[in-house]
Amino acid sequence: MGIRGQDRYCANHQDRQAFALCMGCSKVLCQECATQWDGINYCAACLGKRGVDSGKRSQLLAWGVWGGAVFVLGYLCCHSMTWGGAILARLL
Amino acid sequence: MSRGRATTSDLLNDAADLVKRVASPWLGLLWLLLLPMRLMQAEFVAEIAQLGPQANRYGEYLFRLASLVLMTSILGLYGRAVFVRACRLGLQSRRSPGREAFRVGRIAGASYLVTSLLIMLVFYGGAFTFVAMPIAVVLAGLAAATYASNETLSLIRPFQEIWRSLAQWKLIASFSLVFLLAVVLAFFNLSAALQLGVGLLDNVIGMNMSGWTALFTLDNSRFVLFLAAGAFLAVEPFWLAANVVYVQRLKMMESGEDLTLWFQEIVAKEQP
Repeated sequence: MGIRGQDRYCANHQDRQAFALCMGCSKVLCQECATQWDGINYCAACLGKRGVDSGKRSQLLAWGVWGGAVFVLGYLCCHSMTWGGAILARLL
Repeated sequence: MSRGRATTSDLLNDAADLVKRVASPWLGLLWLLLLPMRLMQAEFVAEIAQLGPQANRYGEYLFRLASLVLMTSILGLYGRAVFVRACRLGLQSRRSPGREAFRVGRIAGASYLVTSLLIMLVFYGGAFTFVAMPIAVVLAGLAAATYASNETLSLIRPFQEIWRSLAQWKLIASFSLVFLLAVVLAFFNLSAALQLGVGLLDNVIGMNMSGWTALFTLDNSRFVLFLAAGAFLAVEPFWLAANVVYVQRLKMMESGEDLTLWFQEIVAKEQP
């Protein structure tokens, strides 16, 4: 959400006019301090926190997928052992 | 490690030296963690042999047994990972490593687990072809030796590393054959050792070992299978060490590190 034209100044740079409002902490930001992510303006601190949180979330997701793969492969291994053994017994 | 292009005997000598270096305590730990897996595998095969052509009617029972084999295999994989790490650290420091050998690494360990499960799928699923088994064994050795270089969770990258390690496939084939012969020799040595032990207890010490004598014969299929498990257990540390030495030599040749080390050795010898 832009707030250009209003008589407000950046929380970090007193001589720079306000450009946007941080959607994380409601701090007034200049153009340099504001970064858009997914179309929403954030300050550096809030952006950093979002990055860490999404990083943690994607790590958890990766481990979850890996755990699922281990479970599925383990199940398939047991089946292949059973049926491979049964076929071998018939052949021998 | 010996320098230059490796021959099979160089590799085996280096592997034997490496096992001697890290034997205490890592050899014992490896055997401890692999023993349940080998015994369960022997038991599974014994049950299959006993059931014969009727085996496909006992699918549920065999599946439960296979689950036990799998669980003990995962324990065995951890043992291999720790032993291989101890070998790598032993190669670097020229002495048996301390507790740092236990630090297998989450990502490398997870990658190794999934890679090994895929290889086990090939091994057990293709067992009736008789071709899949030796291929899977070679892949399993290289997977163990290369797992530490996996820094991200990936299904493809570990197999890319294994594929790169197949650069000197003739060397791999020759030392794999040597280890196969070693397993056969170990089998007969173990059999002779057990029968000698029973004979000594019976004839020299005077204990009644008639029951054991009947069990410890090559006519008893379970005895044969458990002997085979013991033979694989005896040879496995040397096989893992040979794979580690092979992969390390390959990496050093690719990076030129072997020449750097050789130059440093020459300079050290020349200095007064």
